[in-house]
Amino acid sequence: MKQTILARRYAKALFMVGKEKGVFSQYNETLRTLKDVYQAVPDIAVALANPMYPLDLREKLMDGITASLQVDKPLGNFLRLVVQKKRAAIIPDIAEEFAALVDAENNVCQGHVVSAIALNDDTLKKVRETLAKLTGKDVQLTTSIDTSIIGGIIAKVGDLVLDGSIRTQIAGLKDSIKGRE
Amino acid sequence: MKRFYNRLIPTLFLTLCLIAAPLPLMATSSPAEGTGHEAAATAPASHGEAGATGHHGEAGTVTKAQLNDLFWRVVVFAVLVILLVKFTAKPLGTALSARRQQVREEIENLETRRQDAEKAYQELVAKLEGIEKDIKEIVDRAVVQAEKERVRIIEAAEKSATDITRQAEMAVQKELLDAKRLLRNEMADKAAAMAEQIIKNSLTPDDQLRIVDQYLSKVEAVQ
Repeated sequence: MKQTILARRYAKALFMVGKEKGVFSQYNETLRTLKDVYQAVPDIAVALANPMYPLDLREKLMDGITASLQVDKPLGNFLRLVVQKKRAAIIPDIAEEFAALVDAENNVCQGHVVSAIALNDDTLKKVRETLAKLTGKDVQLTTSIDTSIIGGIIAKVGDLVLDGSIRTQIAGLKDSIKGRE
Repeated sequence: MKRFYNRLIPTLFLTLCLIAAPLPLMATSSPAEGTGHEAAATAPASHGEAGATGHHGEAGTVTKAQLNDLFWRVVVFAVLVILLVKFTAKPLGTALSARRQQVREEIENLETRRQDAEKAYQELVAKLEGIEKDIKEIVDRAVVQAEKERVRIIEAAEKSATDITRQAEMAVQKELLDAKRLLRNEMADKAAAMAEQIIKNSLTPDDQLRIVDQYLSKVEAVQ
């Protein structure tokens, strides 16, 4: 279960430190890497969060991770504090919240586009521009292909969803036929 | 009554004694009396002769013995009457009076009972008349109630029939609507599946890009 509120508090605190030092982008990259490590090696999350292991061992494990990632001292202390507070399990959530804070600071938002075929650069640029007009921010897009949408695109930016897929249009047509008396 | 018989029996006994008392006297005078009888017996025979011969006065004379007999008979009878009156008059009167009183009381009692019976009969007759009236009233009331019940049952049956008919019509309408809806849904599903298949088969990469461009243009226009 995601601990959004708790993660946001930690992320906000770290972001204030990073912003003060002007290194929040590096922190963002480090946290994103750590999140990828959590997803790639779930045993690390278990080892860091399981209270059955002694705290000093868990701290040493976190020290080893921070050393391998070559993080600065404040971020290293932050991660050690998270382990000491038995919040190591929410580090991926902290990473997401921190990325959101960084995006907000840079006036950037993350978007995702689903299409039936691979889109060329011109089309992606047009999509990005359109979403930037809608959100008023620079949009960083990730893409994926889903042939089940038949045609068109489905773009998601934050809470905004633009569904221009053929599948949705056919579904709407079907619903209109069913709903008409 | 027992007392009456106790007095009556000695009285009768005494009377018999008195009647029997003169018998010896009568027996002692029987020769003369027999002569007399003979004389009397021969009297009619000679009476005709006497009548015929004119000696009627000698044959009709009464002897002394006969007078004596008559006298004692009268005395005995008088004594008998006196004794009867003395000893039986009062008990007889009392008995008869008691009997008369008893009979009167019985008559009065019977009359009372008859009147009671008559009264009971009248009451029964009145009650019977009342019962008949009540029965008639109950029957009338039952008839009225039955009529109301009949009307109510008929109305309920008509209402039930109407309800059943309406429910059946509603069920038919619902089934019809369900069938229409089911048919429409099936038709929409098949149409959507066919459209999806046709679009899939006919869409080219250029069509895909054109669709995306058109959609983005539409979004920008809305914006």
